[in-house]
Amino acid sequence: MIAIFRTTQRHRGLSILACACLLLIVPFVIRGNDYLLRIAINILLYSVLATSLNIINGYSGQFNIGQAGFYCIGAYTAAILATRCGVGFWIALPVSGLIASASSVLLGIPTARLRGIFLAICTLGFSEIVRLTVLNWIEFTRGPMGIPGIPFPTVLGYEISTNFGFYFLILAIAAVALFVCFRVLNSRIGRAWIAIREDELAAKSMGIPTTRYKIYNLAFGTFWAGVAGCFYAYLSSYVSADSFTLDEGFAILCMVLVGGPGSLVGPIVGAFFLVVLPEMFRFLAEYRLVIFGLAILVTMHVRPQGIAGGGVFAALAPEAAGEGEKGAAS
Amino acid sequence: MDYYVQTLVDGIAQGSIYALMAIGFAMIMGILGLVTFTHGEVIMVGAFAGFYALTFLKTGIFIALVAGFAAAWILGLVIELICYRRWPKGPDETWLITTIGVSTVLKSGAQIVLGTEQQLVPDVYTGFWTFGGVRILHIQVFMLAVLFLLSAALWLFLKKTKTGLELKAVSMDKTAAALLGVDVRRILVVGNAIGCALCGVSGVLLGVYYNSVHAVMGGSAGLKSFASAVLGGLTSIPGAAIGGVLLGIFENVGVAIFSSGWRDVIAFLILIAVLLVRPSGLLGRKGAEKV
Amino acid sequence: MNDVILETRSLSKHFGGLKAVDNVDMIVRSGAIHGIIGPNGAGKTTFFNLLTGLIEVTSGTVLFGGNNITNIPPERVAEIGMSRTFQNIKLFRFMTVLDNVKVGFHTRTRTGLFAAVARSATFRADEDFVTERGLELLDLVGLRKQAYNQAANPSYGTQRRLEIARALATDPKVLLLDEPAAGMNPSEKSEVMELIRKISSLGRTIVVIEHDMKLIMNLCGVITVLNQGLKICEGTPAEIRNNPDVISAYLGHSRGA
Ligand SMILES: Nc1ncnc2c1ncn2[C@@H]1O[C@H](COP(=O)(O)OP(=O)(O)OP(=O)(O)O)[C@@H](O)[C@H]1O
Ligand SMILES: [Mg+2]
Repeated sequence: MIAIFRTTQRHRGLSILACACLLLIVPFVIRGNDYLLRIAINILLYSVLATSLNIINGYSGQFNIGQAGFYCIGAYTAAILATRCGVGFWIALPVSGLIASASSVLLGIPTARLRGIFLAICTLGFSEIVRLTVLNWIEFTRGPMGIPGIPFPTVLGYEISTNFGFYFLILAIAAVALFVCFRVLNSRIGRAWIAIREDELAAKSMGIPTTRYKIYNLAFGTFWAGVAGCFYAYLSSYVSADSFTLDEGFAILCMVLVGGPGSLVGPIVGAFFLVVLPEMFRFLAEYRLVIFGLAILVTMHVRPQGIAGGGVFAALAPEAAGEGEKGAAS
Repeated sequence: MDYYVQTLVDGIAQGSIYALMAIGFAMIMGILGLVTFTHGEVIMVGAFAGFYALTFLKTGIFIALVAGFAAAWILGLVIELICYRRWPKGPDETWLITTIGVSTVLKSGAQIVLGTEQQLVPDVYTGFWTFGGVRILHIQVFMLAVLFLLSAALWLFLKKTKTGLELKAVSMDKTAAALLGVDVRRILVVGNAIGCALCGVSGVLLGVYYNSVHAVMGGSAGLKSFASAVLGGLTSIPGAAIGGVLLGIFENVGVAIFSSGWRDVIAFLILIAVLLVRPSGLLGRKGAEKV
Repeated sequence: MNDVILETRSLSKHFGGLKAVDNVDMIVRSGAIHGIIGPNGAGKTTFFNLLTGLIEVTSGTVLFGGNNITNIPPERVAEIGMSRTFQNIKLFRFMTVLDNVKVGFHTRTRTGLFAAVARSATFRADEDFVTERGLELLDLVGLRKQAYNQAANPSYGTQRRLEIARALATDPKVLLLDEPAAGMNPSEKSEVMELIRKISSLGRTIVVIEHDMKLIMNLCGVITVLNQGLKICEGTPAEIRNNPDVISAYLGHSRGA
């Protein structure tokens, strides 16, 4: 397994191409099978969610366990925009992300000083407050009834109404998210985030305004959760608070931890495993969260950096290929 | 007037449960310096142990409390084995992750094994006294008595026994304690088990007081114990007890003003307020990072 | 004489009843290599922490180039031109050696979110600058070969040199070194000494804390001696060597290495 990651890192361009081909061909192969298409869509959707959380937990080291709250904000923003304001998908998408970002800034300003379990509990509480607000603010969100009737999105004049279409939509979103994250992480901004994760005091002493960068990081990460929420709203054409419980947040966290925090492929691998695993063993479906919890524990004991963790380096120092080999080891 | 006194009485009674949880929490996080996220689930397990003792074994409340204590103690040993044993020095994040894992397994496992329905706990001490318009339930007095007895026992344990003194040494400086010949690992095991056991007892009381236990009761209970301990300063046991009682009072006053749907939100808002107003003692460990 | 670049006026830091730094007046002249010595617990590191804004001053002032910088946050201190290394090494362990240095260039680059995503001209200029100058700095401290290794891997001495390179990346006017030779063998120590000389000859002012007397005496033009938070004397190496107060301060403590 590790060997595979090493080789893929060495031939990055090639492996990205191979993945892209695979991802483009797969839907044609399983076109007739709505069940499989739905799983594929879920994998991609959770990849975006896990990536969004990984930006925060994995790169700046802020321990957020309430990502479901931002996902919820994105989904409700899209649902309300689409059903009340008649806004189209392409506007709702970035707006959902931005509203999620804005709310994360509201959370981040007071909590930027906290760390570890204190920050974790605050994000958890935030997530619950979002859900309770959605449940109780009936005029605005219809409370427990949820918001139905979100229309199908239209892309380039085509209405997307099948799982086949949604697959390509989420594939495009995931690709853009990953591309943008990759570029930001491999810049001055990403280095500042990682520096904060590694040693906040030292980062400060090197001239990084850490509080501002932590909030910045939170806003950037939650933007993608909001975007994922928007997609989810259009996909299921109905949103309700039940989809955004704390357990959903734990599931996303679990994907990041199991896949490998602080690496771009990690959360995708995590999303793949944790979406597929309960499906493979249908009798386990009910035990989904038990599996997730066990997966976290097994990971911590067997491979604490996550399945694909430890590849961070090679990904962040692309020039390394020729000069030093030790870089990849961690 | 009576209404407010009644609110205060109920607040103190409820606060005595929170105090017990918070003492357990302060024991683990404040004294031993271990981070834990499983606290709520330990309370839930204790509550169910008490519930089964009361309903199936038809024991009295004392045996039920002992059952909660014992079940949580054993769970504490298991948690130590899974979450802390391999990482005696942390980092905090590792403990946080492993305990989140255990908490998730326990919470969803409990839903599968114990069912998702609320279970009815039989009444214990249904009598009450009335003073004017204020009513004090026997069970409320009983809970307060349990809190006092267990606190006194803990205090004696810490002051008078060798293990208790070693525990204090470990809380001040693990390395120094090890150099003095203290078996730090044993202290961590015992201390964690005690902290969990106290929570188990609080779980039993919680079930008896509200006449119900539920597989997902841990979430809100964990939040309460965390908030109480933080309110009390996290590192001191009397502080945690006071924090718990205060939280109970605040919560009941808050519910009296708003509505009972906001019970958990009130606790959470108090937690945030404390973290923001007095963060100095709360960031990571005691004192600033040494540079 | 040269201008004063860094000055403290009755600077104090009390931790509860403990006077870790007590009324210290000190003047550092531009271009100097200024030594600070003192027994363990004398308050040297605390003094650096006060200069760089990592902890809050109890009383007194810090002047940098004539401006009052007392209690300004550490990120601002780095920006206006004072940078430091840490006694207990604080590298970004899971980054590469080169990336550690690149972080040091933070205040000297401007790339924002959109520039990074679009790989605009700003981004490319910044990255070229940072990579090129970063490798130059690694050359200076002799770590060019290990540029792509993980920062946590190399030896103690290497890590200390990397900290120096990272601090230099902020382009400091004043470089503060907290025990740069601690834990090194004699040959590594003399390399560090050479390195400090070289950095000084490039026109930077250096303040260095060290327990190694030979190194301090050889390097520094002026030495300040702290003991129990107080400045007990200041002068050239020859003056310090013969000062009875210094000798008794060191003899009064168990360790004088
Ligand atoms: N954050 C803090 N809180 C309380 N006391 C502190 C703190 N930081 C330092 N001290 C105390 O201040 C005194 C000075 O410490 P400092 O680290 O500055 O000494 P030093 O001269 O650097 O010693 P060394 O040569 O061992 O590095 C010591 O007694 C130390 O215990
Ligand atoms: Mg020092």
